[in-house]
Amino acid sequence: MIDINAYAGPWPFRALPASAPSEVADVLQAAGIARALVSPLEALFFEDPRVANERLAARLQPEGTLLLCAVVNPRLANWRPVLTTARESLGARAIKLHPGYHLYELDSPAARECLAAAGEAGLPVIIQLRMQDARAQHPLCRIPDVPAAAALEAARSAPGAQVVLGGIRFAEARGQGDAIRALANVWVDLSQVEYVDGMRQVIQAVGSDRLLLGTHAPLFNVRSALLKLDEGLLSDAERAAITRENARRLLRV
Amino acid sequence: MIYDTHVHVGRAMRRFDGSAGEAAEEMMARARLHGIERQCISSLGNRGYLAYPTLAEVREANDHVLELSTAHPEHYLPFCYLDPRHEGATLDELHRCSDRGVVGIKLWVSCKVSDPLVDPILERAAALRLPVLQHAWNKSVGQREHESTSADVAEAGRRHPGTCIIAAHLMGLGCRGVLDIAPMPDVHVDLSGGDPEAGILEYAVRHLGAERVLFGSDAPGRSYGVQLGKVLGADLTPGQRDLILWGNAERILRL
Ligand SMILES: [Zn+2]
Repeated sequence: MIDINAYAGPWPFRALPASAPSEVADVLQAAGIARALVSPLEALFFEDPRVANERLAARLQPEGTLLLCAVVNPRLANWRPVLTTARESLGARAIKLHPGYHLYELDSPAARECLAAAGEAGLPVIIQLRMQDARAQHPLCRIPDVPAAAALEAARSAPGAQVVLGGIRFAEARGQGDAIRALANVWVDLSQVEYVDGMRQVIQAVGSDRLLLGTHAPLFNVRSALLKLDEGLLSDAERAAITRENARRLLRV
Repeated sequence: MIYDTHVHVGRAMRRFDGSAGEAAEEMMARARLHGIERQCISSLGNRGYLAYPTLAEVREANDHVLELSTAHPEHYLPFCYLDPRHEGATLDELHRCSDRGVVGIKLWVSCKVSDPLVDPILERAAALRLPVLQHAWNKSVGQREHESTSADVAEAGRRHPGTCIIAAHLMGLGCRGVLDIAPMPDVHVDLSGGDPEAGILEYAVRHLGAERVLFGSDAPGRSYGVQLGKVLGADLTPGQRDLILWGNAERILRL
């Protein structure tokens, strides 16, 4: 299985059961995940996420479970070299945007240029809509969610970019199903999609060819991501697509 | 056999494919996929979740729950929904429901559990030996006017030491919630609702003991599997896990 949305590093608000890259890799491997895109949690809070990318890259095993997903902040003057070096010297397989934490709009010129440049570089872009339930945030550290519609609009504006909607919720994914299907360059990360019949309904709305297993580990329990799949009564073809094949094509692994 | 101690039903809930009719059969089938063989159900109303229901709406909701538990006695365990603002009539409704076999009481957001209006319910619950499942959440945004926090639950627990109170939503209560209720041994917590955040269950077990933690999902708003993953993926001993998944429920519900 391939996990499209994992993290490593410390989280300022609570102790995580796994934090170092090797610990995160162990947790994922124990759950049967062979490969995972991992991005640094420090990048949410460091002024320049490049430092966080470099620190994480230095701690990843070559040919190991974890593949770097570099965080890029298009609002900083260095976003172009960060993007280029992420791919060329750090070995990143994708990039992640955190517009909520880094305070920019997805329709800003820099964000649009960044998406287009990632497309040209062949790096898929995860647009992370949220990291946690807004109600659980520190009262003085309330980071607004990124609207799913804004991420879709950004994907529409950059048809050469491959966009993954990270941390999207069930109601958003179902509500935007037609818009997602209408765009050939959009995928859905399942890490925060939850409802009693959520898997089946999101397959119906979006299609199993657009869904990607995501764990949100180590913030979320990996077992929850896997039991969610079981609850979806997936056919063998759906399971293969969601847990492996879609990600394999997207990441070229 | 796993007990899910926090599930909602309602006549307004459609079948999973959106067609008319009860989702009760589908909810049982989906739960059984994960080995959940008993679900404690309450209804917060037949027109959706009603924060301030009328007395008639409460009665209709409870009638529905009793209908389902009568139709599926091997699976569904009925909790009755009460609104403390109905004052004396609330206790009449409690007795009507306990005569018909409810095994617990559900309180939601019409009144903080620390409000003296709730005292008669908590007293009577102890006399009837019924647990009180109280919604509670410590929110940084969107707290409702009469929504209980863990401090409210702790206050109620202090005033009613013999009443089994289950504070719902560990993930919504967080570490602060665990610490608030820790001194009151008859106050429990359920795991329902909220995201499957890693590490919080272990924290609760450390500070409360596994005896005071119950598995619940808050389905259908949440997924049985995701919520169960909070327990199956946690760092627990087999004994702790068994208490959380069924032992505590059987003890509290006296089954
Ligand atoms: Zn509830």
